[in-house]
Amino acid sequence: MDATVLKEKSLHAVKSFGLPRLIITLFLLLLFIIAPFANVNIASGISDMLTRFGMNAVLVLAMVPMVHSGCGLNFGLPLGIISGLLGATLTLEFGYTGFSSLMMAILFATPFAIILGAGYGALLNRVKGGEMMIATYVGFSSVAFMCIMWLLLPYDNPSMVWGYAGTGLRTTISVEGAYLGVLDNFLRIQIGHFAVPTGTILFFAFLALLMWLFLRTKTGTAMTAVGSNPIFATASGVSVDRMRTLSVILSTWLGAVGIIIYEQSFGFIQLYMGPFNMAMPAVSAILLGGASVNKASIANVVIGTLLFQGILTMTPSVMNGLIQMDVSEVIRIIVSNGMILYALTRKQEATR
Amino acid sequence: MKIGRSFYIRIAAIILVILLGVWMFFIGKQHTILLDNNRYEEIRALDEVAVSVDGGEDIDLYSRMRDQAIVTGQGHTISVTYTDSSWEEHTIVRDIDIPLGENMMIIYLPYLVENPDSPQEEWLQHFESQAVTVSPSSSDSAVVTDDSAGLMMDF
Amino acid sequence: MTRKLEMNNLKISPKELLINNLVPIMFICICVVGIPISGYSGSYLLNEILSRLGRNSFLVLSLLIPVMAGMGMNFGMTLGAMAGQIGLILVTDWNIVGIPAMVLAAIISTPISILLGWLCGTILNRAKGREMVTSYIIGFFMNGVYQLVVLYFMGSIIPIASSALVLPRGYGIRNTVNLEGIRKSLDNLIPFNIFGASVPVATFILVAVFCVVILWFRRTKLGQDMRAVGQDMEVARQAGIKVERTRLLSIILSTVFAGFGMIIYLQNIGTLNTYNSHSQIGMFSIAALLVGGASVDKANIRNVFIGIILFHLMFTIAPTVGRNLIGEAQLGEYFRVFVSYGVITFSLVLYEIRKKREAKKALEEAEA
Repeated sequence: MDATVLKEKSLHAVKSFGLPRLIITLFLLLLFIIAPFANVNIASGISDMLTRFGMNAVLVLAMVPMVHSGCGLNFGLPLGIISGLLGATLTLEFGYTGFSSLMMAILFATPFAIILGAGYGALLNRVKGGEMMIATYVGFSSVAFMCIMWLLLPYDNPSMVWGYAGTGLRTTISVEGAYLGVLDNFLRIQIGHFAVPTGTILFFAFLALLMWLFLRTKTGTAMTAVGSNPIFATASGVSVDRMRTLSVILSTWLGAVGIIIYEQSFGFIQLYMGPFNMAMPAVSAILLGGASVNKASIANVVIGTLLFQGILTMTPSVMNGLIQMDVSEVIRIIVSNGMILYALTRKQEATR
Repeated sequence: MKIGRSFYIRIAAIILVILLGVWMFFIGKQHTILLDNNRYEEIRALDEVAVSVDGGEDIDLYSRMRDQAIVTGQGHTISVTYTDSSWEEHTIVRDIDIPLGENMMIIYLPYLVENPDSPQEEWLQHFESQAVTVSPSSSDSAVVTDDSAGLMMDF
Repeated sequence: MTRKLEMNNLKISPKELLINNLVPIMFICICVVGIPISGYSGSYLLNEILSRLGRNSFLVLSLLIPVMAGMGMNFGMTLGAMAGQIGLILVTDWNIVGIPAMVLAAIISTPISILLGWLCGTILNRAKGREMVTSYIIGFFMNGVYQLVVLYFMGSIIPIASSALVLPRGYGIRNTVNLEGIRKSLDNLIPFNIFGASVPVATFILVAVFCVVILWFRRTKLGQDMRAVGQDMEVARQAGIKVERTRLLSIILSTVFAGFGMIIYLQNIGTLNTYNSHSQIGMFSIAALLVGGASVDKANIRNVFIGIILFHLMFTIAPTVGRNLIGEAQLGEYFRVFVSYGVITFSLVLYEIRKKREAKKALEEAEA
């Protein structure tokens, strides 16, 4: 009798936790356990994981508003990233340095994010039910369009354009001297191999707090209502389309801020095809954190990013140390896309 | 499960396709035949010999030369034309049957000319190629698995 | 139901006709403007188009069957392409050449395609209503598995003898595989020239046979079932059609044919980019089909050929036009990527808007 109750309870626990998430958590634990045998330093592993968490967390956070308003997973994240890239390149063009350059980049990116997000939101309002596929392709088309623009736009800062032609932005542009590490090095904790990019994590925590607060305001709850029950929301006088557009603008803006934070840590602005594949890791990270196509919380973001980045940092080093075979790329592809597939095929969401 | 007529038809179709595959393997397999005009054991190399595989162009071989012919499938005809010591021209035509799975075979022409009616195994033998070292270019050893790399290709 | 739809189609306004055919019209404009700028001669363009028509038709045609079953554009056709590539890698390793090599590669690819197609179809049956995005992700997912097999298993678990194929480290296939043995073996099987352009006659015959097969297939029991499922899943289910099985079969068939298409495609190209050739083939094929005036729920053989001709005219001239206009060939390459994605986005949006409008109309009619 007790055994069956226990079994049922544990089954329920597994179910609520999600089997894939359980498997991946166990896999990550296993990686940490065998790391010493593969001559991998756990301290540096954890600090790598935290650094990459800081780099990516805002991009993952950008998923939250759109999921809340029922627009599904934001496969159109590249659009937000493009706004961020515009902000970043403008900042460098005008020659800002230090902490102010980071702020200016975000400031410059904001109008682009609002305009692009509004257009994107209006489009998504006309295609309710088919958002995800269209979002994917809006993202891709905008990346391809911006490839043309990066070549044509009249930037002329010599550190950014191709040397021989004098026009056309380079594929990668260093942010050294501008905002490289301004957050990473703020209140940085460094003990031997172990380092924590405190500033970046605090910045994310600040944004996450704002998001958490926003979701509890009147507008925020209305947005959630639109996502969970659009008919009820309309009946209580909430404009569905307006809420959805607002959520898309928010997601786009967070994507823009996210890529600037990413560059701050990574050191380079990646133009052209750079933003192309950035949506998938963010989408799978939030799903890994336990979100679904129509439900996502801040906790999902934190847990998911930690797990996903943990796998990404630990697998290559442990695998290399253990079997001299780097299968991490394959594992990344299978885990991230497998996670998305799992979310897309879950029964309870098929109704929407 | 009831085993009906359609089941047997399906099995037959699958077997047929597999047989087709095997047949394709036989007729599509490419072999390299080395034509060797070197001293073979006690037999001296020929001064000049012309070899034609499957009625193709003559391959001229002088003494101590080796050339190759690339053929597809197993059954082939080779005709070997040479002039003997009394300046008389002779032509030997033989059908050869290359064993499956051989990538490279060698024909010892002097032996064939000396014993025109000997069985095939005596002058057509397996040849192990001295590991053709393809010097790997740097772009070849690095593997690019970028998803967007395929975008810039032609379609 | 069908009759009513047809009647609605008859009453289409000129404006709607324009919107529905906007993509082909846009492409004709691009080509009309672009061809003089590119400065290519007529015979060069004819040669290019004939060769591209030969190598891509089969791939694009393989998309028609899932559309028939109402499953939209099968982004999972990359799975078939992977199966075809595995077949080609193996026959290249075995030193098989010519037409037999292509046939053998097709035979090897078939069971792999069936397995992958079955997997894809099973997953898609669990994601009804969002088949496209799911099949798109399946393509990515399987790309990981493909890499695992080709980059790690081939040469270690799956024996590969040829040192020209295997990476210097001893396992894994090189970035490029030279398909010298089968290059143009089908295209040049029946040599024929017209206006200085070579015509891949044998390839066209094969494509024609496939077209006939598709036309015939529409009339079979299974084809009828597929169309019924495509019209309305619930109605079809009540009529006693096994909906899941029918959908599964449509994806399997599409995957198998995509595998054959990939083999035909690669015999024309002559080199296999082991890790890239398949990755975007689905996107380009779908873009070509949509350029031909197809939509997510309606596509026919005419769309395939118009689409390939228009899309590939643009594809051929874009880099030169970019160079002649701005002095940058790269610009033209980005432009064609943008257009490919743009076309797909536009068609998807158009489809969703139309679907919504029709649903609204049906609701109003029901209320009236």
